[in-house]
Amino acid sequence: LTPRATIEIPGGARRLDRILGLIRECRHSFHDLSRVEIDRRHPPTPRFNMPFELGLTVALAMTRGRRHNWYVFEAKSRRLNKSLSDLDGTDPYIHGGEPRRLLLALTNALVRSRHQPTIAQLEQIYAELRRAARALKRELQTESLFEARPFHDLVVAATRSAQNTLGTLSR
Amino acid sequence: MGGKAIISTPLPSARAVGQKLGVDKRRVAKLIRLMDSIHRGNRVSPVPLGKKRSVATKRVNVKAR
Repeated sequence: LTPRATIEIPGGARRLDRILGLIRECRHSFHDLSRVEIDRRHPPTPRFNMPFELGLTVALAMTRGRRHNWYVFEAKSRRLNKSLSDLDGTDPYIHGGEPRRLLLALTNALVRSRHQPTIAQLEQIYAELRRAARALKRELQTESLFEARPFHDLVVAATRSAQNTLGTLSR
Repeated sequence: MGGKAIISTPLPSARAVGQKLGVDKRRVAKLIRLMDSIHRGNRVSPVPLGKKRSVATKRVNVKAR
């Protein structure tokens, strides 16, 4: 799987068009609703982007001919039932806001994948990527990695790290 | 949830991913070297990727010694 994100698409296309385009391109999408929190800046408002994008994905998955697998992630159990009861019957993957539990949740979501890395291997990749992220921030003189260039660099770096750590990827 | 799809496509190499995303191949090569170095357990160079120290900096260092 190659990670994709709206931030990587340059040009003046409307953000919504870019999001829809990406969802159509991808066969799997992972929606983490744990950050739907009140923004402290004035005026204090919750961020609705992630549930909105999940809604778009569900609608597209139900209407398009090709299969699209979507997965919902949350930090706390039962929060989804309260915040988005329309998804009752959907079991979110709970990660508790911890990287290790998130990796574990991802392995459960992708249990049908041919590649089945251990948690130790995923933690190794995560540790290597953290070091690479620090180097990239320093080189690109940026505070945020959520921009087009650093994001592309991170994807390439993560793929290489996965190749080095998991023999199965290069076969 | 729990689609029946089996994700069996082999994952592409870092070079193939870089090409797909439109990352310059020299940049990809540099990132690969960085990740290989980290994987071997080496310290990440304090000199930013792809940025060489200027001659002026080297001269100052020589004088300092």
